[in-house]
Amino acid sequence: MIPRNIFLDVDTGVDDALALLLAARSPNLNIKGVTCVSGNVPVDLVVRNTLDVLEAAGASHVPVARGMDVPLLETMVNAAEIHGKNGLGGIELAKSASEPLNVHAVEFLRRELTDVSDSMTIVALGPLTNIATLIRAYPEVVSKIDEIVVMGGAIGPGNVTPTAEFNIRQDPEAADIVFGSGIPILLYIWDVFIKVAFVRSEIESFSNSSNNSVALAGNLLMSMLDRFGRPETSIGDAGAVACILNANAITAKQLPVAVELSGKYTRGQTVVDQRPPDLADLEEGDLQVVMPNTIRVVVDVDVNGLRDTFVEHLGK
Amino acid sequence: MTSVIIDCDPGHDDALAILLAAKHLDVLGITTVSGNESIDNVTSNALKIVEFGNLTDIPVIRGAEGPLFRDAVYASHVHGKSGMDGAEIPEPTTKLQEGHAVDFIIDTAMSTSDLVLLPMGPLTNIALALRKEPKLRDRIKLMSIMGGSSTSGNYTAAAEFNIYVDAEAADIVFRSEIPILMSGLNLTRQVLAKQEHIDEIREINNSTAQVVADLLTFYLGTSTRHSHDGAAMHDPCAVAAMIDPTMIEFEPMHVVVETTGTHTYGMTLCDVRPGSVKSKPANMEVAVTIDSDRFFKLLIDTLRMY
Amino acid sequence: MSGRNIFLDVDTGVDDALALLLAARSPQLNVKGVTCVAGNVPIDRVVRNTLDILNVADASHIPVARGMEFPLLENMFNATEIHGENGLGGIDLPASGSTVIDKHAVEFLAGEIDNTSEKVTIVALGPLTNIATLFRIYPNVVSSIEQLVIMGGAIGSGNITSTAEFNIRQDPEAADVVFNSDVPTLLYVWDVFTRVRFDKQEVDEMIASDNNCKSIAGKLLLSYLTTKKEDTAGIGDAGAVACLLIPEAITTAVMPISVELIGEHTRGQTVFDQRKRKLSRLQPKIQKSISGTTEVVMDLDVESFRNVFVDNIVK
Repeated sequence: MIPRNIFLDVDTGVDDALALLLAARSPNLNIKGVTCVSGNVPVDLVVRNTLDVLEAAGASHVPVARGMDVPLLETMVNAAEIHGKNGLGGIELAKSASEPLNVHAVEFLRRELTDVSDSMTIVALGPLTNIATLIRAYPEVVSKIDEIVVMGGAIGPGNVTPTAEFNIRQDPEAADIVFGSGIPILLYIWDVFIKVAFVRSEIESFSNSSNNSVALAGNLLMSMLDRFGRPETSIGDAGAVACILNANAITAKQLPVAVELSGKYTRGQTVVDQRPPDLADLEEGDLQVVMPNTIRVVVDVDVNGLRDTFVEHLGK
Repeated sequence: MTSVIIDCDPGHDDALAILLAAKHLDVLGITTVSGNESIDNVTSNALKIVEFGNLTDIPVIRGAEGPLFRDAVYASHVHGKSGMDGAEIPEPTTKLQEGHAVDFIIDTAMSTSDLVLLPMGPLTNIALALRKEPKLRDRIKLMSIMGGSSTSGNYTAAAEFNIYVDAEAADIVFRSEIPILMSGLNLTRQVLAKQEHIDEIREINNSTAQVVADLLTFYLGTSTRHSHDGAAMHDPCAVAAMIDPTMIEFEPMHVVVETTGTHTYGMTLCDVRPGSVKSKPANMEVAVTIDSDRFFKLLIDTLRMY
Repeated sequence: MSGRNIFLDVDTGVDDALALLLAARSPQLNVKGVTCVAGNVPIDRVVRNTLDILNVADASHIPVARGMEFPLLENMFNATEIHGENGLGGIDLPASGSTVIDKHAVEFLAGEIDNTSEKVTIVALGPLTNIATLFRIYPNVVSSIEQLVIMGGAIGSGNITSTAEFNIRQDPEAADVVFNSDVPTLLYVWDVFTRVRFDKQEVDEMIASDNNCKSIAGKLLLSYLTTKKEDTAGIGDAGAVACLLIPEAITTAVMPISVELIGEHTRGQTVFDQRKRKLSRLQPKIQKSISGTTEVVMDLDVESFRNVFVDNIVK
């Protein structure tokens, strides 16, 4: 079985860390590089955490590049209350000896996409600033991207605001560029993100594993349980990676999606048109909602299927 | 004589506008709107004005308590806590006419031909009236408005106070297709009352002029404190436009009100580009220059009539 | 006649007509007046339809007042594809001999609310232009309103746009004024609006009834079956009235609500905050926070609603 080539774009981040562990350990995926963007924490900390997590996963050969440190237009807002000051839930990792590449993340992606003959998948787990900049600066590489798996957006309630999810809200203009690019997108929304979870007893057994990656995953998950005092916690971004590994465990629909840029209360909302088609024809004149793109939205997941995928591939 | 309703938020310059109008136009009523100060204060001030001007047969009707959608903002830094500080004026005994300003405007317009509105505060009452009675579009002959600017603002960098306080109301009024004369800051900044004008008014031997001199002294004080060269005669310009249109030069322009800008909320966007580039037809007459000397002569001569 | 005093604000409207039949015939309700607003159809059509449907219900004594012709800021757009050109699904009712009262709807409501010592209930089934104008011109009435039942908004998908429901989208500024007014409000959202339905056979049975109201109700529902090409027809706005009749059959939740006014894709959306409290900590001052609160009908017992509709319109 030929492993699938992927790039990860991350803002590590506790659940980005879980995603990196999963992707690095899975024999079905070949990580060609990891690009870092400001998001959960500032980009320099993202770089540090990413290098250290890859080291812990035995994947220090994977190139890591530092990317955009602020959103295209917005002011940076980080999420230290969720991910802890160091972005890893307070977990201290052994410092990797590796360094990030000398080139900017966007330049790295441009080179990689230009050089290869087969197309690549990008898995974007943070604000879309790097990806949008790549698309705008180097439109010629767009055809080399066969899919972008995006963790972002929501159909139901948001998280950072009542209607918007963090990654999209951090850089709505970047999201608008990416969604409008014509590149096939698989959108792993907040609604399903929170469903793929483990309970305390399961997490404890991860922590006790003799497998380093599994144990680290357990500790990261435990830090989230402790921080929020909940009986279970989600694997977050790692679920987006699990979708690639187990396409049967997701229900996805091609839906019109737009990013709201100007709303007073709704800036950063992913506006998804879920109306049945004949009702959608009723729009009149200047009320017509123009939804320029349809993208594939993960509307439901087989929770146990993805949990099993996570456990199985992490342990490899 | 032209029949008018004055919609105002007294205000020092509103007071002067009312005194100017009362001797040259047929003022059918004075309606008040929350603006320079709260509706209670501006309404009380309007009653004070009709009393010290001996104009008590002009009915005063209380109007909107606040803007259509936004929270009220006031301009006490210009007009003082009462909205008309500076003179010793007794508490008014005149009663308000019953009912709401919006209904007074509608009823009067429906029963008076060629009615002219003189709005010199935020446009909340006017907007409500227009929305409530769409027939007003054909009943109101003209509106001579004090508001907006074809250059820069005062309350914010881009917006003049009246429009800023209720930009949505202004938007309704500016889109109403009723003929409008707009006297904005670009014009009113050309008409600055100074100490010599106050001195001349002080010489006039009637009690009304004395009150005016006191009020202007206060207003000149706050204006100077805010680095202006004099006390701008905003509202009276809109009245002067009706009394002697030859005093003011107007230019037809396409004007819209910005209601969603972060930094430009309340701005009146006047398209001043050279004719060939402009894309939309003019929708109102914007006052651009005024003969300031003729204005003060009219004002001071009128005060002598009291 | 005892019963809860209510005013209805309508844009009749097939389902407004159903609501009027239900309210007029229910002994538990005392309809003190009906105010008309432009919405589904233009204002004069709304007035005509309202007078005629009240006539069908033997309720021509109820005063009807003509209200706002246009939304506060926008131009009108109508929904004749749903309600037909005449707003009653093409059904011709005998013309009522009554006319509208002299007063504007806003005056009428202000006067009526001022006159009574008890508080009133208003059921608003169209765009909120009349109600918002009432609140702005006569802010004192707010404290005399016991409850405002509104058909409007959506938690999930919208109807007229992907995120907005028709009544709110017609006049988002009016809705914003109303939701910020602190009047106790019950919001009958689009999500539950669509649930109370009858199938073709039941509709045919209604049409065949001896009772005039039931028969007309059936014809109105039939028009929906034809226009919308669906197997079942919903009672729509009548469900909002039913909330007053059988409050035990609804489940509600109190939520923060605001109306999005400036979004390119989201104008007219009712924005609710449904996040769990811990997550709502995440919002630093990056976005305007939600200022209103309302009680939202989250669920209802469909059978009870169907039954109360059928039972009451023949009373």
